[in-house]
Amino acid sequence: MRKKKIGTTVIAISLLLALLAGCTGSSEPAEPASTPKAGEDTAAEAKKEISVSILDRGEVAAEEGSYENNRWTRWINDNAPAKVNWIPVPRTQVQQKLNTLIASGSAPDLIWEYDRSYISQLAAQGAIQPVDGYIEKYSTTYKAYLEKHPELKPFLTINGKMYALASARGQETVANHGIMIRQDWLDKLGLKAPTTVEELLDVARKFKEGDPDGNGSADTVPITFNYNGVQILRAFFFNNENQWYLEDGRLSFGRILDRYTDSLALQKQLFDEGLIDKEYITDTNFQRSLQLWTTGKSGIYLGSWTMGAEFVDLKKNVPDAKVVPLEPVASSYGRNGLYQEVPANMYIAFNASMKEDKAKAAIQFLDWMLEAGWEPLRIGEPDVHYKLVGEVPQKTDADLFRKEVFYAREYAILNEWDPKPEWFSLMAAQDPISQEQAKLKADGLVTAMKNNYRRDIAYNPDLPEVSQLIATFAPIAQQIEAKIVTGGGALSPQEGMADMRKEWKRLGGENVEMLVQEWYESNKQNLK
Amino acid sequence: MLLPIILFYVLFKYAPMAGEVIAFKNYRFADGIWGSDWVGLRHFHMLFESVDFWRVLRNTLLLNVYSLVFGFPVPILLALLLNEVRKEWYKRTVQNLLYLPHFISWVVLGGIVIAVLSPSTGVVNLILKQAFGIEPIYFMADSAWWPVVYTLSGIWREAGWGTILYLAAMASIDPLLYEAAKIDGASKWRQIWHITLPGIRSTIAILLILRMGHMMDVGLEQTLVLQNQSVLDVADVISTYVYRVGLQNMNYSYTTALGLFQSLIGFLLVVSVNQLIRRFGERGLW
Repeated sequence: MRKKKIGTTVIAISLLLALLAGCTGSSEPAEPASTPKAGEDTAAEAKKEISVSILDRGEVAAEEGSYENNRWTRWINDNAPAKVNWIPVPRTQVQQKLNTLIASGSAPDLIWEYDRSYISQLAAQGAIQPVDGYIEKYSTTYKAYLEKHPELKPFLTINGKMYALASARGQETVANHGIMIRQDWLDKLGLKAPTTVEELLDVARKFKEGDPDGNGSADTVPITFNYNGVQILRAFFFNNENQWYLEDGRLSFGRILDRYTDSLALQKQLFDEGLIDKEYITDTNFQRSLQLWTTGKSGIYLGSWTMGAEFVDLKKNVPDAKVVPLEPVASSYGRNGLYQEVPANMYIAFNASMKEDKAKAAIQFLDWMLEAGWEPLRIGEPDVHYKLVGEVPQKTDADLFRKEVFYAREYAILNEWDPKPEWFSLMAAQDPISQEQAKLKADGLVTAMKNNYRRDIAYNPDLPEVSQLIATFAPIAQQIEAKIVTGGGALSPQEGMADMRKEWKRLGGENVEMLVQEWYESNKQNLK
Repeated sequence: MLLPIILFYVLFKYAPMAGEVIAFKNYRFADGIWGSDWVGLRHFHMLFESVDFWRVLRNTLLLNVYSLVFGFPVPILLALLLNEVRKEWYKRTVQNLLYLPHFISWVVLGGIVIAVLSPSTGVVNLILKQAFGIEPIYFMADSAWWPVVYTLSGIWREAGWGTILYLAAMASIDPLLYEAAKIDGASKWRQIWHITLPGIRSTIAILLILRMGHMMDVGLEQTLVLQNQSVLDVADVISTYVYRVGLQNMNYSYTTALGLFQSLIGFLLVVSVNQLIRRFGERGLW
């Protein structure tokens, strides 16, 4: 009896120890292989180890390995001046995952995101450190690059200090929103491509009534859109619901400007006349809209500057469809471009816990990446994945490329990839649909870059009071907007806007506007 | 032998609760949990002074009250009905069909709900029009209808699953009681009223107490999937608010304060309902 008791105690204690061990193991920074493996690295002793985050988009095929270990991570470690451990973070929850890693002290040395406001939040949280000094001391390539691209500086600077490195986007990623129109419908009804808001309404009405799909009934939904749609309707009026605009020297929030009222009025008119889907409100994932477009029930698509599956599927359903990009239409305020990205690409920040020697290795790695490393990561190996036709890298085999190279693009955290519109048809596969798609892509890019998109300040004020206010204001504003657009005569755009301004005031909008103005005055030189 | 289990709870359930102190601090990544500055009840003041907090609190409570009033009895009713089915194969099939939605994610179920209720292509509006001549109703975009849809879709997904415990409780009722009742000439209804229901009384009581602990939360997934911009006055709940204000803006202390408040109310509700149920002579959770 007594023996049995001792036995249980022993088991209990060993279990307890195991638990404790497990516990300390999970609360310590779990940096995989942060201690150099003895023996293995003696040859490359000079190479420091750094860790870098990488977005896990689930694109690495099983035969290729994993995000931590594949042909390209090995290639980087063979060629770069540092040994890099990649820490994958799921694409759908990058910020949550990075925040968890940071809070538990196990975040990678280099943390990057596409979202500048996230980087500025990290700086406010003290999770990252300024990089000016490191660049000054250790960098050659990036230092020279930054002199050539002074437009990047304001985006990288937070409270007067540089907190991140970034390369400039190629025009392919600067271009973002776009409009596509069915040229075959225009031709059939004898119409010209619309250039003003009134003409757009007119074309849409004719699309609705003229039975352009030839099925004998007036059942088309002239205009469909994806998540860019509403912002495109706003951009016609030089507005965006999340941007701040300089009006007579004062910063004002886009969502409460008069121009916004005009844009709501247009949206309401489109809805009332049945020129957009009557159920767009519940089409929150835009599947209905997409279906209308790809089945040839819609003539104008507000989406991106280029089309992927939206085009291929449409061609499958309606082989005669002819799609061309449409330049943004002019409103009473003139012609604005559609949304374009700011010049800075991924923002690469340095973990606050990083020491001088590691920071030096990181800078050397980044210099190498910008100078030589990025190119194979974007286009693959010569003769295996591409052949040069002039200066254009033409894929040898689209499937091989998709499997072996496509996933590697984001390892090139600094890069100078900037394909020209005339490259697309050379780079694409040779079948007619791919060629037609490449032509559309080239035209789309030219169209998207033709007009400048209005952005008065380089980035929005990153004050906590502002994000707090906008987070509480957004759902209220959204609901009022929905009521204006879908409520029939219940609420006119003017009345709705008055309501929105009242809510803005109630939530402390005036006070925040003052803070924003102060912020603007003290950051002016960085915002242009 | 209980020791490892107790340790598990202490280490992984109770020790992390110490982290709740950040509700009274101004948490920053750089300073960590212990190093951040104390701010006392500032976050709670902010919370109670914010107009939006009361709006999301009201919405959360209302949706939960609907789910409780209309949703809680449904599994009991279903279990009673299933219990009376004599054909074993039929009972199994029905049971499985009822469970099925529980295993389908809200993303898919939400898509089905929206499609079925669509004013132009949905089957519900088609029937309303054909049978009663009612003009199509845009259920999902109407602030009056939305809570109804929310509640019913919640019942659709979870009611079948909820019958399991009741059916198990019914299976443990002594069959002799039914035989005695039959001999005494009790009808089916009498048997249900005097034997089955009292037999599962304690199960109902326990499940009710547990349900009260969730009065302050609403599933994030279901809400996000069903929500749209024209019903935000009734559909914006605590969990979506926390997501928007806290996690997206890194206000960890503020949202922890909110979480703490939520847990406290939940705790109070559990304790008081437990008391109430004990008054009725039933055994509560403790």
